[in-house]
Amino acid sequence: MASYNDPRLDIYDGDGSSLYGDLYDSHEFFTIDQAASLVSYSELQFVKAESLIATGGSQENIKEAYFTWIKSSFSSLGLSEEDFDNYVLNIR
Amino acid sequence: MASAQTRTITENVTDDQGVPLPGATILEQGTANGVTSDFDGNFSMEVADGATLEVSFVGYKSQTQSVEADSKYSFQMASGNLLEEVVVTSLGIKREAKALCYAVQNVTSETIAKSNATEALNGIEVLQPVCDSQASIYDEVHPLLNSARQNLNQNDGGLPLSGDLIYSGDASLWIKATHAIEDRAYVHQGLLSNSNYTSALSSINQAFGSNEEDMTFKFGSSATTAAPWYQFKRDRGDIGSSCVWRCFGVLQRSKT
Repeated sequence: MASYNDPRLDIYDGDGSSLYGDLYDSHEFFTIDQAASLVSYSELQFVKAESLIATGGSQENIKEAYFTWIKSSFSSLGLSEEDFDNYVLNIR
Repeated sequence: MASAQTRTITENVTDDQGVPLPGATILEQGTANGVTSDFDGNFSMEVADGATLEVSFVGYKSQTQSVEADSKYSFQMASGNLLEEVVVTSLGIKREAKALCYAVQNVTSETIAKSNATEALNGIEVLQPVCDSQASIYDEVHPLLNSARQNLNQNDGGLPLSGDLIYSGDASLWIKATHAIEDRAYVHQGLLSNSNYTSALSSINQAFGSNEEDMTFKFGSSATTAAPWYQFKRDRGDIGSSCVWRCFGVLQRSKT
């Protein structure tokens, strides 16, 4: 994540000062009234990309599902479209 | 013409130790009128005079009580009944919940090879459940979800469950959730047959269309309704974060 400058790293890891990150101290997953996702749209887009690869889907459709997965993941964490665009530039 | 008298019942459901039970189902027998208790075990509902209320909760014996004028009611649940005896207002949701439980357990079973779904769902009388095989679990997930969809499709105008904590009684979202859960199951089975990936693609088109439709459960902020991982962290402060990470299933990643 660091090598691609993934902005989600800041959310998971805070300032990066601890070995295992700040998730244990501050991540939503450990808040008292967290919203626990049981199944998500984001996960399904990843499933779609994997299924398209396995069934010989077109590169275009695979890429679309893959980027939709990342974009919806960003969105669910409160990141912006600009964050997504910058990140995609890094991983292309 | 005389109309039936109604009254509003505002009560609380607890276990036999007095601890509030969130999510207990309260039904007016013989009607589609029902609610679930909130995070503090409280509920309020309007019922007809002389109605009989049935209160149920997973792992506890159901109880019934007649509604009479100026009476106070005590819904203190005794433990000990089986899941199959519990009344749930929507058969579709009940079936989906079971399938979801299986699907979630299979995330773990990929690591430990076995899951104990069937006997573990039989309530607190079975303290050492025997494990099901992974294959038998997957065999049951798909029929359960199909059956859930049929029940949900038969429902028109919303589910008779005002206390639905996930989709507020929206049957169309529950149906999408059945497809989403099935997608997860299909992709887990992908290595067995490539046709499972094809089935996953077909099912995805009928599942969620945006983040807003995610299947999400919001925990409460009281001592008894807090999220389980929060409770773990609060109660086991002596355990370091590395253990939590391992439980959470997240691998340490390189920062270089």
